Amino acid sequence: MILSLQYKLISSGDKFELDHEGGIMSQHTTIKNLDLDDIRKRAYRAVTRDGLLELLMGIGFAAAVIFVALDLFLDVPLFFLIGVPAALLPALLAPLRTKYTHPRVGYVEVVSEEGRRLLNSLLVGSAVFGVIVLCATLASLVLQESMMPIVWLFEDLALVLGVLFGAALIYMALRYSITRFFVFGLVSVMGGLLAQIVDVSAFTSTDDPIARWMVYFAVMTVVLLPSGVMTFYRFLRENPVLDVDGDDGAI
Amino acid sequence: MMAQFSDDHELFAEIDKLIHEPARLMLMSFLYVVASADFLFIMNETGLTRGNLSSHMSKLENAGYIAVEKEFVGKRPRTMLRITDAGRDAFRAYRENMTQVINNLPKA
Repeated sequence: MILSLQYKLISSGDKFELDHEGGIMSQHTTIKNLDLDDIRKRAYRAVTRDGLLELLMGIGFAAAVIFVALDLFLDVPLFFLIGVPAALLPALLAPLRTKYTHPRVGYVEVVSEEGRRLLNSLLVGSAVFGVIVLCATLASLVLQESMMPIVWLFEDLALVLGVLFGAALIYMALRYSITRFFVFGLVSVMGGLLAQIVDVSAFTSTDDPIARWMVYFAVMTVVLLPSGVMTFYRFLRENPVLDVDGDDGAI
Repeated sequence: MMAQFSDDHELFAEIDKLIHEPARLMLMSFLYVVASADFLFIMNETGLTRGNLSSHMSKLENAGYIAVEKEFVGKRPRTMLRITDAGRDAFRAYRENMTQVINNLPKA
């Protein structure tokens, strides 16, 4: 067998491109632009292409809207539960992916040691944020003043959430070339801004700041939920379950 | 001129032929950038057939470049692949050697 290989290789830092042209290969494999950064992006895109992440986020935001609405309109004090869906998201996502995603496209663990350190930093950051909120709450109880930190936090939380969540989504979109996350990120920032400027007293007959949260949560629900449902439906249609008994990796 | 050729020859000799095969290079590249992946994912992403992937996987495992672990998720069998430290080192060395080789090749 004549094997003729012609390579063009460009290597700089993490970038490693290798073009293979022509030649006869036993498995008819062709390699075009074998770029490590692109492979990394493809792995991340593969993890999110099932749409389950935004579907669950959409359900979480919808639940948050319901909790806040019950509190606002029916005086059922449930608004403190808005964090529960977010806390449950990883626990719900894993079994759904095991049931629907992995039998179709396989399983990949993309989080490396570097990623774990980043995740730990985020968790530490969240914990610090929690401590700040706690301190602000305690300060408000002690000070009993109108311009207390907790009041500021309640007033502007929709905007803060919108910007932070939007920034995280846009970062993911740019880092891993996931276009729809970029749209979600922009919507999050716009939703936060909208919640901040809209006159909530017009439809809630109160100036309670949690009405602003409801506006932000509603905007995110309207975008994430349909997108998640459509992406998940398309994913199921385009990726039938493969014969798992064949995944023997027979050696 | 002879000395240059001799140096190039040494460079060629240093290229890891096990990684150099295109399908195995693709497999190693995927495993290099993720923590681990299962057989099905690698098969989908590389476009290799089951038999081919199995064969290349076996060669890389025998060389100690990748680790293959079988597990069950519920009742489903799953074959997990991950690159070993030796595999990571070999891949880095391959990149460096190939870069040098390409840089030393005469321009067409």
